[in-house]
Amino acid sequence: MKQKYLNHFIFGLLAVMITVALSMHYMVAQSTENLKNEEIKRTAKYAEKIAQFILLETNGKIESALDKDKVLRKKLNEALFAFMTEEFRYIFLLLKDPKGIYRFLLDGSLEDPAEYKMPFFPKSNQYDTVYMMQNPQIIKRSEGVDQVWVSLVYPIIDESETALLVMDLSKEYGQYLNEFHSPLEFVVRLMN
Amino acid sequence: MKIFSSTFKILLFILATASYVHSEDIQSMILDYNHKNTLSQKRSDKNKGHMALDKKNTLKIYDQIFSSLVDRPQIYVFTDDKEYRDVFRRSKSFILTERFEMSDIILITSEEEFGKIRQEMLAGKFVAKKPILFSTSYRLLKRSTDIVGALYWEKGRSQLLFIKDRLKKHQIELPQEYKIFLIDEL
Repeated sequence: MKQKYLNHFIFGLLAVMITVALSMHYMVAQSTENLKNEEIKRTAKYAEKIAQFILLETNGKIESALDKDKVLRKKLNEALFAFMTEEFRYIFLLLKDPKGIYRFLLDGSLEDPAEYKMPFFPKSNQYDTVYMMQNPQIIKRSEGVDQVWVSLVYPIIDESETALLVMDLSKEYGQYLNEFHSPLEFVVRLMN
Repeated sequence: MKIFSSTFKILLFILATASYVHSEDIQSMILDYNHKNTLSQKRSDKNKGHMALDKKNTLKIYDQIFSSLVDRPQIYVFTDDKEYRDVFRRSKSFILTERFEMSDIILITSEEEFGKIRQEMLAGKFVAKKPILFSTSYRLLKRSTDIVGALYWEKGRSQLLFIKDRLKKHQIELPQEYKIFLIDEL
């Protein structure tokens, strides 16, 4: 009789343990996702602020202001550089020329900056979607892209044109977020 | 009695781990701080060479590009770059030449190499055959109107570019899939 109760108790306990382990596994996965989403939301907020700053400094005429004023270009490149923390790999501003080719207007990389009006061929059609729909998009890393985890493409609408602000979150940072809970994940897997 | 004690221990372990998940612990702060410091280190350690892809993929890409520029099953290629020579040596469709005046395509990867080729061009070495010049640098492509195109890396993205007028001089008609990379001017 005593053995029967003991068996029931052990089975019950095992069931509780499995439930706890499964829910913890779910919680860990959810927590990692939340972490990533928070990071992307934060990037979008930065993009909004940068867009406001660029429009303010160029009086709403981005291309003509940058064409004319080299000092302003330098100033805005440095402003983008100020946002280049460990999380961000690249931050740059693009504009479509009359022939439909994207060209660099600004680049926050001080080490190896892209030349002004240098052509740029994006690896995703979503750039065109952002350009047409004028809504920001998160673009996952595609083939031919290195050192980038995801990109936020944010439209900056001035008086006559739409420029695209691209903020690339670094691959290392993406890996770091993925591995954030990995020691705990390991324990949970062991329990399973 | 023994079984109760070990189950109690397991329960304690589960509770401890669960509380670890929920707590905003100092551990994550330390991890975060250390990570930020190692990120910048990793970045500076990264190889900044222009051949960002592995050898197999680099060869695959150049195989396609050069085949679109020269309509021949065997293409004579010259480059001074050791790394690229090593890659092209594996190709079945490329024949690596030691003398650039014998080549169909010259791949220019540095200012130095470009300087040499330019000198030879001025000395009239390319009278019999004018090889197609292709580069791995946007700056070189911009500097010299003799270079027809370039494959380079910009902002972590591979960029392929051909200049319309320069291709015309060699009477090159690009296949449809490369026409999107064709531009009138830089």
